[in-house]
Amino acid sequence: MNIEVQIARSRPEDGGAAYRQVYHVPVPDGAGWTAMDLLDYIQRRLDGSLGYFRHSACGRGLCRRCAARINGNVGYLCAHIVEDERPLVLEPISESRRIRDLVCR
Amino acid sequence: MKGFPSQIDRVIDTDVLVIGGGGAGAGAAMGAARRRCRVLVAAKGRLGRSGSTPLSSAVVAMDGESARKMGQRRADPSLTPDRWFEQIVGHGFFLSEQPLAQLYVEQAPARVAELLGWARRAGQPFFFGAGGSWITTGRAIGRSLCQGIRESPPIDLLEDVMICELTCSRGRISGALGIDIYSGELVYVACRAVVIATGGFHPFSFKCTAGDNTGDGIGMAFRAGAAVADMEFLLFCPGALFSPRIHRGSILPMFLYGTGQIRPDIVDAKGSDLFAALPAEVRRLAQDPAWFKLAHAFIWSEALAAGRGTSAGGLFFDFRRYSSWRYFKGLLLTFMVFKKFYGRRFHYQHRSVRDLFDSIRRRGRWEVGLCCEYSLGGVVVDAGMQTAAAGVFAAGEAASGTFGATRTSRALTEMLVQGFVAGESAAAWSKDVDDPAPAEDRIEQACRKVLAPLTRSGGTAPGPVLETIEAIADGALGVRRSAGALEKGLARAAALRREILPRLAVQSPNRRYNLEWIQALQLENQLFCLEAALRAALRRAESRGQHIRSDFPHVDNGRWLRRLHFENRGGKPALRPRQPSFCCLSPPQRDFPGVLDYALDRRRQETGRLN
Repeated sequence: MNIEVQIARSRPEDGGAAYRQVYHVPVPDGAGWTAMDLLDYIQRRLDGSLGYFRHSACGRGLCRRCAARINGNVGYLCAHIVEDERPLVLEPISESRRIRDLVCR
Repeated sequence: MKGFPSQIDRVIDTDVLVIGGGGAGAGAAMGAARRRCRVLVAAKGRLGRSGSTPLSSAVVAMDGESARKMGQRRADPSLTPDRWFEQIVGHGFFLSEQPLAQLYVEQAPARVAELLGWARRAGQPFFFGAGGSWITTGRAIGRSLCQGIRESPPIDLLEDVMICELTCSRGRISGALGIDIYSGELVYVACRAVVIATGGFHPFSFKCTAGDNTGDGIGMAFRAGAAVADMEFLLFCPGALFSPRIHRGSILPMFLYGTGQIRPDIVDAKGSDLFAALPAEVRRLAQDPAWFKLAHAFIWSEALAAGRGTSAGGLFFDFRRYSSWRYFKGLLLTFMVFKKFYGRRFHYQHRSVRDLFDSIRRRGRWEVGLCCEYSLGGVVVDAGMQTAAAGVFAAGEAASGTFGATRTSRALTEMLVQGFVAGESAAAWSKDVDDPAPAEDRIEQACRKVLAPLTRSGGTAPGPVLETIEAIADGALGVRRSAGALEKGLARAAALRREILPRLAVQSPNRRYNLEWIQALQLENQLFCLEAALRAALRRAESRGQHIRSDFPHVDNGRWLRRLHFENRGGKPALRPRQPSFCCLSPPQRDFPGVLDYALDRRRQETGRLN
């Protein structure tokens, strides 16, 4: 299936202006990808400038550092399973503490 | 900041810099702080919450005699320090540096007792298991270490800072350059000694550890003049979940199987039992906790090499032979124990595994595989954890030599023991040497190197290179290896180093949380470790531990009781076979037809001696 991922972005090199970017990710049927898997795919293959918490992430919901707003609700990127083809909307948990894209301090 | 290049945003001065925020780093910081010197810990993530420590199966061990003396009535007094030492060296196929294994055995009781004290005061659950070991959770280990840091003499902390390069002056360490991951600032730490506690190198796509095991410290230490060794030896854990994706890399199946409560059949993609046709002695070996990982990795990898695995390269834990009630009961009992650790029903490593539990009741199967768990290779150290680079010390998984070709004892204990010793040695060293001479040119050179991916245009992005590294490791460095695959992998890795590494460029020039920049900086270390592992695996024309060569299946003690060192010769890694120290135990003189024959022979000797 093809999943539309809408990401609220803000790049420091553009002066932090907020905008929304849409990516399309082909996900194998029944693979049970997480939001983190989708972001890994986008960052590695489509857009290297994307920022989300990854640098020391455990990837299994233990370190509790990859929080983001997922379809409007706060959750952990590595613990959110993408279950259907509905668009996935990813936003940072705080505008005021935002560093880049989905990363807040 | 007089005397420092203009690119540097922040300068910090300390005596001992500890790089790494896991157990070895925390241990080193405490060891140095108790010697009353200034200590700074720089961690890529958060102290106690990053690296492999929080994801580990969380068992700490000492010999049974010492555990009994501590009042553990269930401890096994026949597991004396001497017997434990013999087990470590024997299980490691006699490639241990025996003084390091001795240090591990001697200091484990004091370090584990200290950890248990911090755990008690931090309210973390630790339960006595068997022999001389305690079981807990990775998170509890992390929180206990943080308690230890709180109780210690002052230790400065620099979290979310990635150290990228060590700088030397007049033949010894003078400092280290890093980046603050959130702000992108360049941070220079001027110091007299460095402890590398950065963990291992896990280049595979399937692993049960965090993604930050990129061999940073191993690469940095080598560039500073240290030698590295044993890079061909990686530890694979049989029984990590392949699917569902959310649990990918979870070692719950291995843990359940290991406890003996749940023993499903291990079957291939067509449903044939891998163990049915094996001799009874091999089946017994595979159920022995000491030999479990080696025996299963051998048998599983043989089946996978014969094309009997799933499309993802996995096998199945099949629960269908027995009644679901039997497993229901076994799991229920197990989860009653887990509840003490995780506080909630049907939780493992703080996450719900109710779906896996339910799948057994629906008579489903679990897809499992061999995942990378630990790297035996790393920086060469002596029994004071000193490396060949003056002022550079290493500890834990980043160091090498304690366990030899494979590890059956506890890495968490290794990190505590070695961390503490490295911290003490680094503190003693820092007191003996003068302030390092200024090395502005070296720092400037390091700054230029670190900033280069941000300023290049039209180069290669790091993302696809990361995927290529995983593909090379998956294809050539798994449990079963052959000259053909290793040569092919080595050619690809060398081409990446030569052609891609100097041209790495990132899209965003801004340094604030620039993930691509972090990836680009890690790649040099990842490629160094990958190439060293491939070269050593190709050179070692025999099988030993979980390095199993399909073209050289025998254990060749005549020629290969040697560790493969990479020494820094003019910046290039020169491969030198070196005999480890056999100061206490002599290795077997004869060869074995395969690693299982060696394991069976050792097990016969060990059980014979007990009876």
